[in-house]
Amino acid sequence: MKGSLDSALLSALLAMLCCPFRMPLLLSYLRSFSQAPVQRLFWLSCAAMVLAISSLAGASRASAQLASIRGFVSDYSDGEALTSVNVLLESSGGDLRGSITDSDGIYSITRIPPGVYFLRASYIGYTSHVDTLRLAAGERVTLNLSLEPLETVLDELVVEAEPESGAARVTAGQQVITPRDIDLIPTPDVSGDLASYLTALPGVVSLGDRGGQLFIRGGEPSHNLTLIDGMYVHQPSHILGFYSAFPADIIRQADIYAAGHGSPYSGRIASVIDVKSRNGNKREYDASVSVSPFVSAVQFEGPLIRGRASVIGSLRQSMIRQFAQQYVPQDLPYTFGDAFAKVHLIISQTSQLSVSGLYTYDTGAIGLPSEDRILEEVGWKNYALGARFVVLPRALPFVAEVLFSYSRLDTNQGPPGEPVRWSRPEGFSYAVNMTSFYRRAEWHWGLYWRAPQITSSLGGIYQNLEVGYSRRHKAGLYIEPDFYITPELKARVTLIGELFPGQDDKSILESRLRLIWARADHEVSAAAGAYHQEIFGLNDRRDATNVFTAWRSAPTTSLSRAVHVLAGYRYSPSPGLELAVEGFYKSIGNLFIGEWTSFPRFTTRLQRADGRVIGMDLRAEFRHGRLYGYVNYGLSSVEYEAKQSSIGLWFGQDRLRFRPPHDRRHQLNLVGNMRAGLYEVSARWNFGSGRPFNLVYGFDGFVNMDGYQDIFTVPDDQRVIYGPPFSGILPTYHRLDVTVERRFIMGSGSITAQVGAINLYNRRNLFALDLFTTERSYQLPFVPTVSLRFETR
Amino acid sequence: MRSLCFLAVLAAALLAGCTESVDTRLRLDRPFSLYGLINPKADTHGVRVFEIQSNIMLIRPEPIDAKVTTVVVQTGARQVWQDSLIQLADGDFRHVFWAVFRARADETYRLDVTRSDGETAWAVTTIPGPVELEVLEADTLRPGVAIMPVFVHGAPPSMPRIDVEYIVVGFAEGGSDPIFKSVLFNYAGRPKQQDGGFLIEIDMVDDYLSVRELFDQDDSVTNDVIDLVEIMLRVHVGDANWVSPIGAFDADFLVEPGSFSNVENGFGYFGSAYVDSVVFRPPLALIRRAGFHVTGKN
Repeated sequence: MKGSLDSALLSALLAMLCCPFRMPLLLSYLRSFSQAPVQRLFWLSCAAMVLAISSLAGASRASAQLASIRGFVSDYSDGEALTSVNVLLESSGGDLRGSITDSDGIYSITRIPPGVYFLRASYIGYTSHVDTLRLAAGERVTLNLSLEPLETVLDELVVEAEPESGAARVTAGQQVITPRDIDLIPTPDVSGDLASYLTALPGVVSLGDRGGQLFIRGGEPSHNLTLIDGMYVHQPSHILGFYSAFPADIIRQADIYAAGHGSPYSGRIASVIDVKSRNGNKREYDASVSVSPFVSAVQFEGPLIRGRASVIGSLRQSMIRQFAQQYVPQDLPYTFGDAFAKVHLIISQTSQLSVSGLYTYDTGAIGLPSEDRILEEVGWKNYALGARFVVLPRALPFVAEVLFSYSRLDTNQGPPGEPVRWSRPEGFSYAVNMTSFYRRAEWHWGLYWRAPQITSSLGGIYQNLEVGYSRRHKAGLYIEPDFYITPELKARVTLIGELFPGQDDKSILESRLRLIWARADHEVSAAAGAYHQEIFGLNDRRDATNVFTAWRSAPTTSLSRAVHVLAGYRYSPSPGLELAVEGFYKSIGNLFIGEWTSFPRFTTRLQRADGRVIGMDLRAEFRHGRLYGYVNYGLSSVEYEAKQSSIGLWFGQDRLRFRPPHDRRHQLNLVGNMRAGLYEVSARWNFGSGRPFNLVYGFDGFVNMDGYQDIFTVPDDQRVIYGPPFSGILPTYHRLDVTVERRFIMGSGSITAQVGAINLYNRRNLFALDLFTTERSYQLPFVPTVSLRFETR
Repeated sequence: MRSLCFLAVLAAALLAGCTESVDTRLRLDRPFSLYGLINPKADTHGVRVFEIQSNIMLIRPEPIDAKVTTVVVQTGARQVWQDSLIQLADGDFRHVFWAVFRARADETYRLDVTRSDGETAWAVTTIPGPVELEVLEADTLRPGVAIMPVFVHGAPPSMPRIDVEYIVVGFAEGGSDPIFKSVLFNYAGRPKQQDGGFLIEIDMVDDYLSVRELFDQDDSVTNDVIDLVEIMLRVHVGDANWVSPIGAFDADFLVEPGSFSNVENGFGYFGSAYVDSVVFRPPLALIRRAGFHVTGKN
């Protein structure tokens, strides 16, 4: 009976999965209906969720005679949660049951027949925890474990172990990044930053070492959902491309979904960067101070209540004007910084609470100064504050996560100190995410409510002021079971329903699927899904020097939508070698871009566009003793198609099909790391083919001759006489960065010294081409760096 | 062999990767963009001349490399236009070439703007004939409508703009001070062709609703009493080419180069046009029917 319930639910959910594959067809089908059938469909999905949740409650009653065990696993030395710990329960008869801890260190083993069990929790680099348990019928045991780190971690252990993260360890678009991965990428600072790692991923295109924009698998920066501890961070990159809001020191783990992300991630159509911060040391105080030509940083952590509550904080401030600018033969008018703090509290054996806050700021001028033109500055500030409560209710077989956060971004552009355009997306977010375990499935389900609002004032030298305000509410429900169909095959089926009260599109139903098949050294994975987005960032991409993002709400009748399909294969021919290939396709609809116009002014008039992204990533990762390296290659093609009747007057056709400026077709990254004695050498070579840009015939003036005009007094406009959109190609980009690092142990502390070079062979990589003045700005030339870091630990 | 192929591909990639040059400009032979007109009702005519530059248009006071002439096609009479520098309200400089002469209806003028290297942009325009505006008697008996007819006698080749300007008076909120307002409506595209000319029907009911909406939005003015002082009709008569390709003169569309242009080897528009106007006050019955208040006579 239970088996048939399983099958019925699976069948019902799989039936819903027709959606991603036939989404365009389904959408047009839905549009052809009146609103009422769409609503019926939504309520049907709600009913399905209620049915599923009820079945789980029933399952809870049915399994009353079986025991369960769950708890948190942490590092004994500092209390930090340990991810991917293998927790095994072995019966006296030899039956095995197991669980792997999640990013909070939570494990859960259910449906255990009463009896005596041998428990073993093991993790690489830690002493295994072993225990013998006697479980009674219906007993629900909460057992928190602390694993003690081994005195020395042998290199061989690292080699032989199954790594939890890695450059080739991509599964259905998802990659887990740990601070250790980030540290392998050479940067001008001893402390790494997530941005450096992201720009070394295939399919991730950055405009260069300034500007702070990441395009992931064809998506625009505003199409990426970036979270830290569940809080939205609208513009996470700093203006200098090495840095983001996420220094490696505060990161416990970052999950990157280049496509095919699941249900807790809603409201963005391209990708997800989900950063989970560390909780901080609950045993002793640690601090570090680092200084480099680009950034100085202070990081601290320690117990507030020993063993129960901790605080971690990080402060960074750019030092470009003070140091780098003194010897780099290029204007670097950039200032940025960030601050992060988190308090983590173990409330009880079954519940934990954390409160996090993030602040970032950036200011800088991207173009070049000119006597005829005021050099405009762009700036942005992120604010985020959130609380996260994780509980293992004693009476219910759930793991519950409650999130509450407020995020805000202030972005502006204008003459220094006098911004004339600004936009401010902000809003509260509430979410409840539940995980329960039933039979062979792990059920994720939850609900959320978000209320993003955008205030903007988008005017400027060439355009009248335009003040805007919009507020949207949305409430969502999702259910996402992980079915373990066979020991090798796992399916994650997602169904999401969203309500938009007071809007024309009143509801949305979306479904997603992830399939993973793994046997021995082989893994095949695939994902597909439908996505939508209500707010978006508008950039004037006609001019590459313009990185100002104006946030707008999508028209309520036509949200931006995307369908992702991807499939990959991973193979480990030997313990130290991993190979992966993944192909992807994204179809994007209702993509709003700035209207194409010959006025050389920032335009906020929207132009609807559709697009498609197709591509493939190849990755190879190598580990052998003290040697580590990886190579990845990304091939992709992005194409937008927009219809605008005015452009037909000049270009002869009103349908524009063009490669957007982030369509970098080829990308190659080589990263190497070697430890030799007390030294660690890292190198990275990055190659990217040229990106499209606009070619220009020239510039003139324009008088709207809408009748008789007094030619001696009538005002006019400047005009750009464009060639076909994005028909030029910039030169290729490549650069070699190298660092050599050594750590000196000094009593209870240490000093890490790093010397390095950015752009070792001084390649003149073009960053921006000012179409209006033909002036060019180049990316960083050869820059030698020296960096120091003092640590108390 | 495979190794050789691989090395060749690698070498080609490296060579391609070494290229740093990039050309941002497409070749365009057109030297100028021109905006101007000949007004048969005036003696002085002007044309604003923009050099098509490789840099964003930043016009400096120095003379530009352009010689402007007109020739009357029928007679061969040639006129050289003078350069002048004007400064717009925003402080920018512009070059307006001007000439003094009286143009006659049906004369065809060819304007040439020539650079010293011989590159020339030119345009041709034929002077439109005169029109006469006649305010016709309105039908004050038709219920629910208030149409004020005006007839344009003649054969205007084009009427790119027709302004109907209402001069209305209201009163300040809470006071009796009269506040005059001017409200403009564009009737371009609405005249009906008839024998001997065009009929313009001014829909005073529709226009009154718009006027009232404006008053509603203005908190300083009461909308209880809106009186119509007079209506001014201005008809812009243009040459035969003065027709928007999209029906309306929307700058966001027409800014696209060449979209509304009669300039050969260049961009812009050089035509001939004049404005004829008439001022009148409609019959009181019509004013009332449209919704306006007639002060002191209600």
